[in-house]
Order: sequence, then structure tokens, then C-alpha cells
Amino acid sequence: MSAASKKGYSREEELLLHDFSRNVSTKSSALFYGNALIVSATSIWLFWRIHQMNIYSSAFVFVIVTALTTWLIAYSYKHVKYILKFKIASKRGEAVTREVNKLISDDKKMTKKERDERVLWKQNEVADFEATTFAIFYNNALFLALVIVSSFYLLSSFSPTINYVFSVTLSGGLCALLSTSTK
Amino acid sequence: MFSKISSIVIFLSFLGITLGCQVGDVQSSSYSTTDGLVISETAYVVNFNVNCKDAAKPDSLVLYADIGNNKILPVAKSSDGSRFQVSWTADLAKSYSASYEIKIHDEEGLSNLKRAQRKESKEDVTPLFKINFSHPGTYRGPWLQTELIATVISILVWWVAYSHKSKLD
Repeated sequence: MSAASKKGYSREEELLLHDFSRNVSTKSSALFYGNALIVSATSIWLFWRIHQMNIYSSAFVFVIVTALTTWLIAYSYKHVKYILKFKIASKRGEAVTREVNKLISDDKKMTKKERDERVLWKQNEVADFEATTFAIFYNNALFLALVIVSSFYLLSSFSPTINYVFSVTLSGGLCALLSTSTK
Repeated sequence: MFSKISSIVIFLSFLGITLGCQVGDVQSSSYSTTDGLVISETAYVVNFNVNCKDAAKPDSLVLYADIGNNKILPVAKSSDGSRFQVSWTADLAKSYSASYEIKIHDEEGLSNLKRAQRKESKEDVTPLFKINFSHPGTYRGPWLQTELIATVISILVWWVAYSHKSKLD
């Protein structure tokens, strides 16, 4: 028996709690961590080929920093997605309702409750997808801009290893910090 | 009497030297620095061979090069006297692509040139011959650094994303 059932939530309430929860599904989680890993790994190429870091002697540093940054960026994705989902749902709600009603208008057997559930489900799906993709796009753009600015201008006078550790970690940290904003 | 004889001998020697080689054909080649990424001055080297009109050898020639801006440089000569070279360096910042005319003077021409410079006269001293060469310019790197372009593009992309995010409010 799930915790929600123990507390006596109805099915609709459970659905609402699930849809508006900060928790992401396994699929979304895999998508977030996969993207975060790719973006973090991109900074390895930047420092290996442009800042001339030796990839073999710096492998341990690369692995540690990449793992840490992956977690930070995935954290940013989740939070930005959560914030954006509500905004997108309210923006797209009317259009989605219109589209769903148009699709199910011929189905006379469907009750009003079922129609509303269908609309809500579609709104949630659209908002979830758009929020996920936009969160990934926005955080990637922010992270890469921060890495480029910090590695080429702010920390350029330091050794490549110090430059890599601080520019990538701090950029990931800043993305995570900014994602916790409520706006 | 002896002073008169010695002056005649000196005159004839001088005449012999100047008449020793009547400059005919001149073949020249030049080199100038084209890659300026790790240097502070541009080097110019002009090599040339002189063929005398008569059977005389050019090894008797003592030459000087007027490279412009009142700069006169001695021309180095190979041990067998057949090849000549003049070289100089110039500030990298002023080494634009240009055509240069090097005026080659002998000793007489040099003294005439120096006299004209002292008098600050605009009288043109006729050189023995001129060598023209073209300097294609020295590459000092791209106009815009690639990291600046990457920074601008990344900030631009982030700005577009931020604008779209703001519109959702």
C-alpha cells in the first residue's frame, strides 16, 4: 500500500500530486543525467585541445570534475523544469484544451469527467516535454557560456588544471544555484 | 715630381677600379618574413648577382644600399665576389605589404648621397642600379581572437534562451 493510499488520497489527488511533484520519472532522470554527462564531457575536449591539458595525466581530475558537474547540471535541469512546467502549462493550456476537444468532439460516449481528465493529461504531457527540453537547452547554454568566459578570461592566468577544476565546477555550481530561483 | 707621378698613379688606379666593372645585368632574389606570430621585427634579405659588361669580375665592387628613409646599409659580398647581399630588420607593426625599391650605389654614389643628405637638398642621386621587390605583408594573427568569437556566440545563445524564458513569466 503506497503512502498516498495510506493517507486516503483519491486517484485524482494522487495524479495531481504526481504531476506537480518535483520528482521526475526514471525516463526523465535518465535523459537529464545523460545530457548532463555529455555537456560536462564537452569541457574535457575544450581543456584537452585548446588549453593543452594532457588527457592521460589529468584523467583522474577529468573524471572527478565531470562526475561532480554532471550531478550539478542534472540538479539544475530538474529545478528549472519544475519552475517552467507550471508556466508552460498555463501558457499552453488553452491551445491544448482546444486541440484535445477537437480530437474527441466526435466521441459522444465520453463523459465530461473523462474529457477533463484527457485534457489535463495532455496539458501535463505537453508541459512536461516542453519544460524538459527547454530546461536542458537553457542550462546547457548557461553552463557553456560560463565555462568559456571563466576559462578564457577570468582564470586564464592559472595553470590549466586549476583553470579546469574551478571554471567547470564553479560554472556547474552557479547553474545549480540559479536554478533554485523561484522565478 | 714624385708627388705628380704618385697622384697620376692614384688617379689611374681609381679609374681602373671604377672602370673595372661596368654593371650590366643584375639578377636578384629577396626574402621577407611573412609569419609574424612569434616575432617582434620583420627581416628583409635581398640577394643579387652582378654581371659586368666587360670581362671584368664584380669582386672589385664596393656597394651600398639606400633602402629609403635616409637609411644606407653596406652590401655584404661573398668571398669570391660574385654574390651580394643586403639585409635589415623593421618594426613588425610597420611592415605592411608594399613594394620596395633598393637603390645600389658605389662609393662615389654614396659620397654624393651623403653630401645631398647633409645639404638636405632634394637632388636625386643616380644609383648604379635599382632592385625592386615586393613584401606581401607579415601575418600577425586573425583580426578577431577565436576565443572572443566563441564567447560572443555563447553569450548570444544564452541571451536568446533567457529571453524565451522571460517571456514565459
